[in-house]
Amino acid sequence: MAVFDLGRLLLVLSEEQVEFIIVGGVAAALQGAPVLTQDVDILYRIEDANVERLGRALSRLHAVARGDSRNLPFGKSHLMTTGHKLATTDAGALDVLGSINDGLLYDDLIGSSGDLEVTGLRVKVLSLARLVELKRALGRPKDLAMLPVLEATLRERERED
Amino acid sequence: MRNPRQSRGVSGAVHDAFSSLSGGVAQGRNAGRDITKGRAAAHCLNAMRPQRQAERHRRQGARARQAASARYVGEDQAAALDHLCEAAKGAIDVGCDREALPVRYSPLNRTTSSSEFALQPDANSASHSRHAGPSAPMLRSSTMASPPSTSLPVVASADAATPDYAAKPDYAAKPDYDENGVDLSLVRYSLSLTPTQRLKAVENFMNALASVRTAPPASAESTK
Repeated sequence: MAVFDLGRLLLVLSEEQVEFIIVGGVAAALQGAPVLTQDVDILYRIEDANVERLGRALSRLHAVARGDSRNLPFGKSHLMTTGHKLATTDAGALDVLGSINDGLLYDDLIGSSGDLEVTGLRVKVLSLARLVELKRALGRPKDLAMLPVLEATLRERERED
Repeated sequence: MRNPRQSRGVSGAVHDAFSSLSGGVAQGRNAGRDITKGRAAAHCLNAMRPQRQAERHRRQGARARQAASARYVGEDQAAALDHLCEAAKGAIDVGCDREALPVRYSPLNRTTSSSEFALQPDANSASHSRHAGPSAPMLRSSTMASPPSTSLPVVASADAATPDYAAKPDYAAKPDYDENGVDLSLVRYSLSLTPTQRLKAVENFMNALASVRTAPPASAESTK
């Protein structure tokens, strides 16, 4: 059984200086929303040097395509695309996303993200307000189901401030 | 020519005058010494006053306890205990100096059992009110044992005050659920954590889920 170690996962990505934003359920959880998820979603910058750094990080994490019995690693050409790459690593499930919500890239969302210190690392996390907007725009049942909790968390945070 | 008798009379008179003067001075000195002694004695008495008062109050308390014990032998133990506590409290509250009150005489210096509480001196005493304020609780926890110290125990902090059961919670100000049924107390708890703690919570959930997924299938017998 693979033991999830999200701290190590973030550490390797940071050590390799990969430019990425944490999105999805982990982003919501890190900002205080009591939601649970089964994988870490990162949106990375599709740029030659960054993709190389990402490739090194995935190699260190022994990442292979999830649900594929051939255990295929991710090549650079694959990582240069905007699609979703669902990986299984030795530190947990990792969704490596070139874009989200029909074409939103790293550069489109970096302005809506902030730095958060997690396990001693400074990582970029998509803001909760932007996450709510994106999930509402997606309109999938699983995203809509999470919306009330995210909105309640936003309200409670504003109330505390 | 001078009359010797006269001359003797003059010198004698002078001698007598000097004698009486020196005697007066000596008397005065002795009197001053006595006054000093008297003052010192009075000072000593005043200094010992708290101890004497404490001793007197101890004897009063002991007499009251004896009387109470004699009165309640074979009767309701709880009532006897109450009476004893009142008697002991009275021994403190009659006005003796609490700073000078020896600890061994204080009812504070005893181990409490589950059925009794150690009494605290009242909060009017400046030495105690600076610890707990005038509304400090009078009771200590029933599980606490008094330490074998020579100083008075510190009065419990105001945080340990008896809860106000009569007060009504303000549900309207901070509801536990919102209009969508989201548990806001869980949201508040999650917000109280650090990002690292939140990440750990997610990680624990993932590991728990993974362990369930990789667990061997249940036998047909156990699923019945």
